[in-house]
Amino acid sequence: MPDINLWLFRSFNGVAGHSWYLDSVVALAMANELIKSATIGACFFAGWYPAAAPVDMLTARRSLLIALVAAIFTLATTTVISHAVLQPRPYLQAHKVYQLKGNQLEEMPRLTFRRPLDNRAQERELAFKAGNIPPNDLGSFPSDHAGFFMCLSLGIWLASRRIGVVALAWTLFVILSGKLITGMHMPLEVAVSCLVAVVWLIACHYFARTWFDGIGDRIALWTTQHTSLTAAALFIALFEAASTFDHVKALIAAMGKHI
Amino acid sequence: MIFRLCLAIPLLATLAMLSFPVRQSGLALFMDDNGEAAIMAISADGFTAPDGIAWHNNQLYLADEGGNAVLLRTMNKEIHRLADADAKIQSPEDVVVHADGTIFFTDDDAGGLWQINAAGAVSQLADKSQGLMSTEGLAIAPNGNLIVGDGEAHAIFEVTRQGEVSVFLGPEAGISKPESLVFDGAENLYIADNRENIVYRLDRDHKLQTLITARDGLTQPESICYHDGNLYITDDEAGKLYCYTPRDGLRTLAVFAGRLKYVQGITVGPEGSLLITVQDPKHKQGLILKVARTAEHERQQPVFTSPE
Repeated sequence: MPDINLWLFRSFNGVAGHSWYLDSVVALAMANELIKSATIGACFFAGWYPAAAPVDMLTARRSLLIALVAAIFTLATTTVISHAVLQPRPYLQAHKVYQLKGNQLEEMPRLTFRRPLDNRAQERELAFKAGNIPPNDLGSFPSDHAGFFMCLSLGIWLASRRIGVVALAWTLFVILSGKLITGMHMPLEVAVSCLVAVVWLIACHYFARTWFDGIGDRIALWTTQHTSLTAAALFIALFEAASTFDHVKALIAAMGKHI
Repeated sequence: MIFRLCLAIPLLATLAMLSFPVRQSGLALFMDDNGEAAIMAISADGFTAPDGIAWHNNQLYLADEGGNAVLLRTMNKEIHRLADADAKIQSPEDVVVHADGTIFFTDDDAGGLWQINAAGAVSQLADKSQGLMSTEGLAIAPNGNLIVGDGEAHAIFEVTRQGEVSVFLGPEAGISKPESLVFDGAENLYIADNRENIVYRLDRDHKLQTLITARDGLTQPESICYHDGNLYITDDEAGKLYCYTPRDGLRTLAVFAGRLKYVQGITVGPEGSLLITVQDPKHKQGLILKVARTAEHERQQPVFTSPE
């Protein structure tokens, strides 16, 4: 398993470091939320207003709402795990890193890493040499973004196959691939977060249908009766989803300091 | 039923993980390839949460802040308790060993300057009534006297071997909490102010200079030591080990995370290695790290000299 993980990582990361233009495009897709997540948001909205019978619209909206809830649970789960498990990002593993295992310090195997040529990657390397490592870069397992966007994309696919294919393709080829190419995550980390996403999506669908007695249907119906309010709420929700709720997290942290 | 079980297990696992704190690991990342790290000792060896550390005659002396004790770790890795709460010490901070073998340590709760003589008798060389209210940093001056930092008095005192206390650097100098002190080979005194987050240099002519501040990347200097022209600094808020030289300025040598983050005391150990105490406040434990720098590591720098 570790060999496949490494082999896959090398395959993706091998794309980096050859062309400044390609590396810059990949980096842009990672850093720019308009490119990275706006497509998923657009697919979500497209699925919200399907050109189909009202019953199909209710079904689609139920799926999308469940996907949104499941994506939040996925994000919470992956965030908790990444805080509990210290794992440096692949680009850091190219340097000398010791890991505390029990009561021993063991040097982690050095990862062969092709550093992308774009400015962002160069700045990251310079920041590392200066000792400035973002705390998030030490919690690489699993990938928050991968799980979150995979969950949303799968939910969109369940709501509308056609639009869902676009969302899934974007997630796979832009978001997830970009993470591997730039050395932000290992394939195993991405796979585990996708698994978490699938589990939460299935669970939320199941609970919505059984334990909460069709609540998804009732809320979907309500959205058709209160279109303005729904549009406003969706805007806020998807605006935050585009940044994986970074602003909400910051707000909660600020409130926590004052309480 | 099986389907429900398959759903329930990962969900329960997630909920359990959210409910119970998971013991983190620890990481030490080096900015270059010249660092090697190893664990020298752990709490199970006989200490709790070590702070100040000193290396003398191939033996390790620890101010065990969490265990309210001053300890000696011999070459055979045996831990001997030199002083503890029975001697009325409360929270030992820093420890130094005089050339004659007398051990001195500070205590930021009990205050005063304490000593342990060759016979093992513990006594206070100077106490609170002499102004030493909450003692922190400690260094041995070139003249053999003890230089003691006090966080409550915002001052640095000089204490003779006879217990006479005088003000070495008063509150007017603006030093808030002299957490750690060290002399270099040219009688310059370095002072780490743990509250204002500044490292100062006081030269032989008693001129105080601000050496390193937050603008240089310093967060919260905890402990400093000097070796071969390099000033080493631990930063327990950022979890970093720095090296300062006049030519290169402040450089980060290593970043620590997880259970290794709260780096405390630092001293020079065998073969020029750095011995660093680490506290794990969550689990009330600690450990001692040994960081070796391979040959040709830090560039040799001329020591500071005062203008003639």
